[in-house]
Amino acid sequence: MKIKVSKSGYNALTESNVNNYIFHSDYNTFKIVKSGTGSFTVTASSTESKTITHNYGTRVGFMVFFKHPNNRITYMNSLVDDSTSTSSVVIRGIPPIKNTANAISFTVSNLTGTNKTLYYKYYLFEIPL
Amino acid sequence: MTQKIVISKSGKNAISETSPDNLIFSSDYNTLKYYSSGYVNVNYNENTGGTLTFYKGTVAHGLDYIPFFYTYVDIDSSGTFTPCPKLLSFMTINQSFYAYADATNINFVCLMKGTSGSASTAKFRYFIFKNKIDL
Repeated sequence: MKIKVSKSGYNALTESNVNNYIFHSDYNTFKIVKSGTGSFTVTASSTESKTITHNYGTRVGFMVFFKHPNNRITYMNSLVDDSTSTSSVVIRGIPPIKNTANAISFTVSNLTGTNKTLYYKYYLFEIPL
Repeated sequence: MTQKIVISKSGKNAISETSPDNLIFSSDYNTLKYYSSGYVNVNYNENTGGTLTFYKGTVAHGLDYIPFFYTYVDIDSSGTFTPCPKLLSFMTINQSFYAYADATNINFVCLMKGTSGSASTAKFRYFIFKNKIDL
């Protein structure tokens, strides 16, 4: 037995292209098994190691979004700067952000002379690593 | 008793299975919900050294909150996509291709030094999901 939900305009009984389905029980879904939010402060003019403890218990796929001091949001070690605004806080790509069974860790640098606070949201996915 | 919808993988019991790895779908777990996707081309001049130059494109996400998004980039429109951020210079921020979100847009940036390099076009492929980041 299968459970299928097709996109509007497609026949769930006959459609053969999986991209035309909203849901198809033959194919696994990209499940978010855990998520959480928090914040941390980076001391002025310093580079620090940070850890987000999630205690999921298994090493799985992950994604972290960071809200920078200029209120822009991006993921992992990406930048948020342009000609109009600079975050002045950088999530370092070296060493890379990583996830273990119970925590996500990374390095962050504050390029300014004042303490900065970053907010984060992490997602853990049903993808055993 | 809380009602659930659970579809297990073949050979697993949907009534008793607890590992999400053995389930095709479970209403206990949220999923990413596609909202929109597309391409944005950003023209830039290749890195030559000098002052940082930001080349930017945008697409309005159309939501009253900042959504979950993900982006790939084809840095020279050659047909090869890699995940953003794409950093071409080791340990430096110049020659970077990245994306960020604000209250209105998903923004796509090519960060180079100088403005006298050869002209090129980066093709960004973006996916916006309905899921609210909520920060």
